[in-house]
Amino acid sequence: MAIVSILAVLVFSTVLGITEIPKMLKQRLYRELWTFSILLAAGTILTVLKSLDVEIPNPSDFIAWVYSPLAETMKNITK
Amino acid sequence: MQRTKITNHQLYSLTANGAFGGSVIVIASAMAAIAKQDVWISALLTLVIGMPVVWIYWYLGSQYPELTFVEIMKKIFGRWIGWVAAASYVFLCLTSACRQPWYLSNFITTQVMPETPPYVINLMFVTAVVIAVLYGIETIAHASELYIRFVLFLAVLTTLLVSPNIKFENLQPVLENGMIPIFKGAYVLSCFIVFPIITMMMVYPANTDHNSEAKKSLFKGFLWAGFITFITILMSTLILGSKITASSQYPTYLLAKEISLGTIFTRLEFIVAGTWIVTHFMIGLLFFYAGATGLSQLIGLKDHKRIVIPLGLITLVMSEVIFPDVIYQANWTKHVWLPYITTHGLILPLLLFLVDLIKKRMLKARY
Repeated sequence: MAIVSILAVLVFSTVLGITEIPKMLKQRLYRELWTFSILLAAGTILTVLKSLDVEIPNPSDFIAWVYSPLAETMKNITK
Repeated sequence: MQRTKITNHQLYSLTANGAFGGSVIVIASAMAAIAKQDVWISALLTLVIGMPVVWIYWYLGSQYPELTFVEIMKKIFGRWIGWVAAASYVFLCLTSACRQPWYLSNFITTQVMPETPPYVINLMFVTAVVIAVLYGIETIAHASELYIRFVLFLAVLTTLLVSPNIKFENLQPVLENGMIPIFKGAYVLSCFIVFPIITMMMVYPANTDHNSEAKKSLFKGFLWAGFITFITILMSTLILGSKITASSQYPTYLLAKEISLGTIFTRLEFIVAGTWIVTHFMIGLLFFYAGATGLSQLIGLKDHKRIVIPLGLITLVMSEVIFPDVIYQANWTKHVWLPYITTHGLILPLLLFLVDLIKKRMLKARY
């Protein structure tokens, strides 16, 4: 299954890049082009890592860490 | 910049969808655990608490009718603090957008199709969301006008068809534990139906006109959502009792399973689940739309549609990372989501409101 999803996402991002990037170059939207490329690369890398069962840092843990001082209060409220 | 405008009825239906969207089928459980048989009083109290909050949202929008929430924050707080506040708001929207497909696939894989991999369901959900955002806010608003009628169906089903099973003993004794649990329950409910309306702030001031009418639509939408939530919560307690409601994960779904009138009206629960999926899609869509437009305004892009597809890919992958399992999700929702959404849905608009007032005073005093 890992191979299938890795291949699928590689094909998907290549096709998307081929169709979208020339459009943006033609309209001189360089800022969009940068954001698009970074996001697409991030998405592809994340998919490959997830397919290989690598642990991906969880944003929920980060939010939980930020609000950890309030955890006791919340435990009292939701009891 | 020319922005597409939506009508006031569309604003109303979007607000209503955004308010009850994800919570209508699950919220009764968390509420019943806190307020026991008095949950219906908490639900009514939430409507009262929500009014001033929605008023603050409306006021902020009415002061800057041409700007979205991200731009309002930059305007009021100044460039740097505004940027940080806006970034945190966009982060909230994007992570919440990742969370919505998880809820849906969790429901489907536990209740209906246990052998389907959750990513298949998430893929369909995220694809639909991405296509909807590519079509634009006008299409989303049209769709919400349609969906709001489905929800009426849910309300009718859960009230009329199950009413033969009502046991009024389930509501007694009233006020057994005093007022404190009721206030706690009302706070928890407002974290699910009042504060998430903050996502509407990416749509409301910028994409609407006729400000006085918009006020009415916002309040109407909120009240309608509150009313539906009230009905489902009241019916869950009346029929299932507060103990079963508190221990089940999807009380409204369980409620619909109780429907059996003759031999014709049985097994209607998936109609209820279907309406929930549709409204859930809407709230996921609103979060994703707010996240995508917010992100593109944050880094100064002209067109948010360019980054929607890569963003959708990230959302899809993160949808199964964001909650490893149900226990994690339950704890996270209880201990983290409540303060998290309160900071962004209540404290941030309140700060904006106060800073805006003080700024206006100082400007007046100078002249």
